[in-house]
Amino acid sequence: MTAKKEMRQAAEADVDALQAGLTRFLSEQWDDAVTVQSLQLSSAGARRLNVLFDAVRGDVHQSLVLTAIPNANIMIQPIVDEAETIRCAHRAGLDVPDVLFVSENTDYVGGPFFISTRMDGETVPRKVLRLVAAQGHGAAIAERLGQNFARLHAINAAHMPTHIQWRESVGPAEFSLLALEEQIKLQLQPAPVFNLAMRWLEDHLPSVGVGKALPICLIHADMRSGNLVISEDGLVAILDWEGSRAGDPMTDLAWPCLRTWRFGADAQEVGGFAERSALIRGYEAAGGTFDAQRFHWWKVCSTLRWGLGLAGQARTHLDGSMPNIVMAASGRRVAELEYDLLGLIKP
Amino acid sequence: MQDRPDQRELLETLTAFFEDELLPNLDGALGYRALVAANLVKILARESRSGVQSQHDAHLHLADLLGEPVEEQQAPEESTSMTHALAAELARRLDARDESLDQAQTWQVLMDITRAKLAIVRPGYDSWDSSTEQPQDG
Repeated sequence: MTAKKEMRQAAEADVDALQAGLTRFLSEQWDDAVTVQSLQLSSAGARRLNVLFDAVRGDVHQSLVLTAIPNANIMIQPIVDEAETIRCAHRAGLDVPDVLFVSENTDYVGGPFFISTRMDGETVPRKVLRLVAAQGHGAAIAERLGQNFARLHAINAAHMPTHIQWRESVGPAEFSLLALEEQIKLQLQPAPVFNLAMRWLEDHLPSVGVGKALPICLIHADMRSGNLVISEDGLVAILDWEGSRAGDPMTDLAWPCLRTWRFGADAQEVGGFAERSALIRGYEAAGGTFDAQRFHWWKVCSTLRWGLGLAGQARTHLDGSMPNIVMAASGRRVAELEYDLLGLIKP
Repeated sequence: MQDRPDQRELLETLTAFFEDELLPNLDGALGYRALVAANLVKILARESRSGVQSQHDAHLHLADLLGEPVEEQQAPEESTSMTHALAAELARRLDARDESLDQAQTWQVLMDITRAKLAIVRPGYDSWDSSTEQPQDG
């Protein structure tokens, strides 16, 4: 049997089990006969499983999505917390799916999960870029993204999910530097560009006037091409809230502007589809306060973090903890992030 | 001394095999990993052509920046470990905020070394100038 055929058969077996589990779960929840059909594995990593499916009750057809964590030991945050954050974002008027059910019972789909409404569109970055080129709606998408960020960052403490809180003794910027310093120590070879970037980050730490505090709010922390659902009409939804946490709002604006997410369309700073001005326009029009210096600081910080992340992936290949050709190749992508960093901090 | 095909010819043969035979017949996750593998073979081909020279240049740049003497006629392995030692020394002096390091020269040396790495791992990546993304008002 070919490897391809084996993989397909394994996936089909999984799909059958998922269909049975979902049918059982939804029939219990709705106390009604439910048919689950048209299952489609949208992404299946070791960490996270996304399955599109239709649920039919009598005449009612619903297009839904299952998000499951096959191995609860490697969850970034409990799925209950993630679902609570999405619901909070939904109430605040963000473009997010409606979470219908959350369960930590692993009997249904092999791990904790939630089920949400489906918001149709494209997520694969290169396909998104082709769609945007055809529709010419890149600036509108970036504005809408900015509006979403503003609404998210405006959620006040009273309405935030209970698990979202800043608990560190130092601010988000200082805390990030401490984490990066630890990462640099793990490097397999000296990388002076990273040391230079660390010194730059220390020298340019965000500050406000004496007696004032830097803003800390609920942030998504991974809102970039790949986690955005885009249709012919524009931005449909923001996915993947598992990294959401408390942080500096400028972290959120800087992350989708990293060159890594532009896929070759470098002059379009926001995900390769729009200029920064469109993102800021949307953010400020919806009440957000943009700070160019802090934005830039977080861009440098995130570029360094991503560079160290790629080096870390190569390490997990080399030390045998995750031997994998993609992880190995990441080691040779570090130079890209070093180049980006040097440009961003050029004296 | 080896018989033909030589190293470069073998790497070219591998690249052609990946691109013409393997990749068109694979899709999904395995297809993606094969694409990554094909790219690694291309990196190796470029490294086999210019890797030694690139390493030597990095050594010279770092030695010049740090005021260290350069020994000519080193074996490639020795040059690699010397370059790593110099890079480690630069990292240490950056961490110690050594004021005798010329800032502009440090940046330029690191940029030259990074561009040389990119010429092997991702040619053309340095066509975009990220410094244009810096805030304009200071």
